[in-house]
Amino acid sequence: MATAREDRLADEFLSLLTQPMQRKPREAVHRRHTAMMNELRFRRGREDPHLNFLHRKGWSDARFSALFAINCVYQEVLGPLQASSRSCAVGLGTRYPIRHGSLSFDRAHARGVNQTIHAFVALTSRLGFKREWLTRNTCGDLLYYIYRHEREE
Amino acid sequence: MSTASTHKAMAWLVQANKLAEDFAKKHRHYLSQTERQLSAAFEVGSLHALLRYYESHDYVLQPANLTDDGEYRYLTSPNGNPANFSFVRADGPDGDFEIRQQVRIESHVDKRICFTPDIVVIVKGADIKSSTDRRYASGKRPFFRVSSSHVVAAHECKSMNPFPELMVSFLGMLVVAHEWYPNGKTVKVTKKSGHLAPTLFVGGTPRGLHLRMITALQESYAMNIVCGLHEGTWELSQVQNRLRWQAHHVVDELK
Repeated sequence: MATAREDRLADEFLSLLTQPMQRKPREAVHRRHTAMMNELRFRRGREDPHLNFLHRKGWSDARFSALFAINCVYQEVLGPLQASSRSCAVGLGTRYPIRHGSLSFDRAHARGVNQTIHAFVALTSRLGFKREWLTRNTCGDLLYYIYRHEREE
Repeated sequence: MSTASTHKAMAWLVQANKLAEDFAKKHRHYLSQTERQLSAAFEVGSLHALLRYYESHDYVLQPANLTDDGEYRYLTSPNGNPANFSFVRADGPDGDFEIRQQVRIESHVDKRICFTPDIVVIVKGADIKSSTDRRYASGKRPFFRVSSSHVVAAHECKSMNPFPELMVSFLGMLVVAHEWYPNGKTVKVTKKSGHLAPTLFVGGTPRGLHLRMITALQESYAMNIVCGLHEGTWELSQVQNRLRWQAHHVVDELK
């Protein structure tokens, strides 16, 4: 079981990542993270075999919380941004910058977003998480893929 | 848990927090985008994917109605006059078309049914009607719309995880936005080259049950659901349902 200090540090991890965010995206990230943590607790209560296996492999609740935070930030904020940074065949967003209200989608935008995504993937990797875990939908999906990964290890 | 493993877990968390702090500080600008900016980004990404699809299917694309500075002026709301905004011309083997954003559609089912898909492909030069109505903006702003008879395909972009109700609700758009659906002569549904059939672009990754449902929906209806766009599923060459516009054939037959 996690200590109070572990819990505090895990909460801090999420707060640090979401601190620069605007209110609505931050709320969306926290809402998703809460739902994933609730599912984790529910599965623990049901003696989920994947979860039991992962606990034995050293996966603490704090570590799950950090992974969920990474997943939520990607899903709610960085994923949509990454979508806009891809190159377009007819030069939209490059030769012809896209003016979307007060926003501009141009080469500088694409470059900046790609650098951010690159750094985020590097952070994910430094924490020992796999890149494809960024895009999993639910706590249950993640548990399954982590279980599969740990079993293969 | 032993003391040694607790220490190890604590050290990992401290290190994780340091990394998160550094990342958030350095990439503050992109983390602080508004909800509207994020939604716009996903829509722009979906448009990119669609245009790449068209280009790989023998359509010649050309951005049109650019600003004097050469910018593509994206229509962000149905309140704007489409004539004042940019669009992409798509000239292909089955005719000439316009790919536009946020153009309101007036349904053939009933003229009172009007709504705005994120991206719409219409025949070139389709009449964009404008009128005032006291029930809309107290009659102070024109109500712009295009008839669903000119619509080849209406596409919707959702930057969220897929779920069954989202997928099923897209059928509503298929029915009311396309006069050709289900048995119109202006469109031939094909598995070969042609327009992308009405498509729901979804950011999140599907689960096994979702994939099964998507397959069933695509086999049953002239529509596509493309998921996992956040992850990078931007290659649309695998989409199942495509369309050939054949309005000119119908006209020839009538002659």
